[in-house]
Amino acid sequence: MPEEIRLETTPEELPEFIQALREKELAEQHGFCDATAVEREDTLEIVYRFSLIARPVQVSVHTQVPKAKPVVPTLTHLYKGLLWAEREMAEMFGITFTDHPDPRHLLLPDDWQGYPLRKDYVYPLDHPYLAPDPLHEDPMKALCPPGQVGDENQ
Amino acid sequence: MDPLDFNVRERAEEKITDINRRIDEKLEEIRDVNLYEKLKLERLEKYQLQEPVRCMARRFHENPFMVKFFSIVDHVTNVARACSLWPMQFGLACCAIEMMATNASRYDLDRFGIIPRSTPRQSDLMIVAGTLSVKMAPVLEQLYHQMPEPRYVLAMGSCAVCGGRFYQHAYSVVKGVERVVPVDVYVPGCPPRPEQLIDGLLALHKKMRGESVMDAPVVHGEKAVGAGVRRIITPTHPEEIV
Repeated sequence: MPEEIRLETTPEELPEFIQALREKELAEQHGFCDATAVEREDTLEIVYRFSLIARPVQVSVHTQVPKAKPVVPTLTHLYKGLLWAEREMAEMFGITFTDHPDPRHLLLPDDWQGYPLRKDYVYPLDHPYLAPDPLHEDPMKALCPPGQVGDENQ
Repeated sequence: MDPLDFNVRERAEEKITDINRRIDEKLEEIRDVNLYEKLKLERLEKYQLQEPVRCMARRFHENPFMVKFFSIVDHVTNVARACSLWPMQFGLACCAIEMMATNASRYDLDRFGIIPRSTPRQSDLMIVAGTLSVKMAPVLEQLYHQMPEPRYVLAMGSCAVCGGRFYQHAYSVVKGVERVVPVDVYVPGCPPRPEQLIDGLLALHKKMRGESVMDAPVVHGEKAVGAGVRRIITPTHPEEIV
């Protein structure tokens, strides 16, 4: 199993933290793996994951932003691979990345409303492409069966 | 309508805008079920203006000689169309792999005269193979409108037919291609085997052979919601083909 190192920092000093990490601990050849967000009770947790090439070591940097005002400085000047990852986080979780060079939507249409991967997301039932089929005998029941999401797989 | 008059289309467009304006005015005035049927007839009239040949042919439907003549014309044009049906490649997901397999040497769609093209300008049929996302839907609509008429759409796979396994809980998948473009043949399956796709294409051949210029005009280019008249659903078992 690879050695896992978990680091935490605040969103304000995130660029300096990653810069220092890159110059000292990650000075040898390493790869930027992934960046994703996790929804907690009151905060959104943003996770950046790195791995070394020569040794089995994985480094993850966690930072918490409040749900009410999720603003994080961008890291695209350090890793170009974050260009799309940050765009995806922005449209899926509503996180604002300051100074992002290309803040358009990545996977969703430009006029999309709402943030689909948040827990309080409401399904757009009035959308012409996404509304339940009116020919179905009970459209709402077919669309949202009783029980929680994922119950049918258990 | 004089077929030699080259300003027919311009005048038709003027008339279409006029009809549309009147329809909108009426819709604001009354909301009635009977009025809906009347407006539908007016819409049909609007599309008749877009098809001068069909409109001309329909004038002669009481003359037995002309009916016979147009039936021969229909037969020749329909066989010619059905025997060189060029689909546009529209692989969106895993169904595209089955579509490629159908085009390849083992199943060999070339024996039906079906050659995939890479541009909508040269194609008669759009095989929508795979999951259509909301962001892709305007692209599909634009490509459909870039195809010359007569044009056909085959929805391949459960996702293209009705949303498939993304019908529930999916915020980004269009629940059926029929909400974007009118669909002629539905081929269910996840993904359908090449035999099923060939079955659907043969069903489309059968439908094309039954068309006539004497028929009522087909409403092209409308959103397909409620356009159930053109619907063919291929059966799962070949014995069910009527």
